[in-house]
Amino acid sequence: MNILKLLVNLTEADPELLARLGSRREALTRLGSLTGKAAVATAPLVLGSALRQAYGRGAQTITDSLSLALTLELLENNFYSRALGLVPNTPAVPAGFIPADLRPGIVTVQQHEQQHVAFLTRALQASGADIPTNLNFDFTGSKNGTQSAPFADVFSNFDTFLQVAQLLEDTGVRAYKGQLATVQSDRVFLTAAARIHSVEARHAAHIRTLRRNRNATVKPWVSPTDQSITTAGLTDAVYAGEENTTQRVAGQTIPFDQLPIDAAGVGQTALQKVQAAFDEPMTATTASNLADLFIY
Amino acid sequence: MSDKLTPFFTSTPLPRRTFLRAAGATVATSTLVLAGCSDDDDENTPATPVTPQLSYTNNVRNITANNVVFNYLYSLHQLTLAFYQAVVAAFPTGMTTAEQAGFTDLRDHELIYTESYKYLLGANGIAPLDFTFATLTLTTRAGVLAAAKKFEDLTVAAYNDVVVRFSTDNTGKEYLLFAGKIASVKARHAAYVRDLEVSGSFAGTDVVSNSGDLAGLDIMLAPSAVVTELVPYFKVTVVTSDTAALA
Repeated sequence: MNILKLLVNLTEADPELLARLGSRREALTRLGSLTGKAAVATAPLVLGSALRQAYGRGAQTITDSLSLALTLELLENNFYSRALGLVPNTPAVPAGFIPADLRPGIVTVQQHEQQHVAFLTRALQASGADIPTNLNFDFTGSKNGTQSAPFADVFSNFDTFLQVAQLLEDTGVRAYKGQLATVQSDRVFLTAAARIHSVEARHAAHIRTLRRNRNATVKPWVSPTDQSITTAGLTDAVYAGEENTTQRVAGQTIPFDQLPIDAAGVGQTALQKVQAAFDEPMTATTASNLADLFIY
Repeated sequence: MSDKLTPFFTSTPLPRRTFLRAAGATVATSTLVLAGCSDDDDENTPATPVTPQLSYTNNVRNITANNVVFNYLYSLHQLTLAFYQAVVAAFPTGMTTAEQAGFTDLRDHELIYTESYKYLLGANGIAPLDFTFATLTLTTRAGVLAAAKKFEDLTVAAYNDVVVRFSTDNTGKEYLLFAGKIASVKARHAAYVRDLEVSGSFAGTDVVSNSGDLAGLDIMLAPSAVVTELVPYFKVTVVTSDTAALA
């Protein structure tokens, strides 16, 4: 293990790392004076501790982002696993709950969520952070019977199941998007977050297509013409802000009402397509609060 | 004239709508011709087909990583827009009314993205591009879906790659977020088209790996790989190797 090479790589990927290492510099200097077996044995510990501190500061850290992502993935994995009858000691879903022809698609989604859990768990363990454990899930939204259940028939009515699935997937897309800037300094996590983000969007579009095929008014992309499936004060945060028609980048606001974007000649309706054409980010707090509806 | 190819690969901004053209015959004699891309044929133009080249620094006044990456994405949306415009102009037989509405949305989204990048880039934007879809079968539903799937998946792969190419200052973070807002909708497009082609193929193993350390992660391709896949559709030869931002 070449510690100096690793540090160089890390500081290239994250130019602010050394500044954030702060008081750990002394330890690293001591590390540099060690030789032979002692250095090899001690280096990973010192470095791991230093990195943990460096990445553990600030309002929203990379490990915070990973931890939030893992919580959402654990939630989603448990959700689909239960529907597929893969979770021991939970009530069995009715036979044929998932129509046979749709089951492979749900299996694909569940496997991805499980793979995301594995990836994020490895990432968090590698950075020495705590892994969320002992999470209990209640997808009826009743918090184990302590409040009324907005999705009481989630595992007996496939349409309810798909509604909850859509809420979870669309939340996932927005939550990952909200963390991109936070993890930007770490190229490995940034790339992984982007690649999981787009998989969640594929899931969301599939679930929406399934609902559409079952006569729900919904598009694969979040559209103002979608039939509302949220409840004020409970789940409306899933789509709050998606009605945005203003995009501002580095001081420039795109004047959609003046651009030639109305190919279909539909007038103001063209702005509805602007809403659908951009998925908006969601803060970590909003995402956590939404996940909390299903965690007790 | 020297045989250096340097003029092709420098990051010097070129005048708007001006491309470097090199004919096979002239390359053989190590001569480069700088020519405008107007249609009027030059008497001296050799019979050998002429392929103009596009660098993502062409016409870019302020060559920053952020601008170069946006120009790259801008070109991908120009291509996809041209494709959907061709589809919507003459829907193939066999496409249902609902599917036609879906593809109209796809066309409109691409128009919004293309105009957005054009506006944001302003004086730093590459010129509008021309494309050819002669190698595609746009007269059948299957042909249209196969082509749409290819373009959507490639764009998703491109967006997943470029996240690390923006600057890490506040400007770069805003560019990153803007790209991210589009990236997930592109993934929705891809999943929609794939499900139309084969139900349940929204995230097939050809795009989302199902094994190994990267299992569950979506496709990611470097600019050079993306433009290589798109060679049949660009009327220009796209060069990505001449900018650090896309190398």
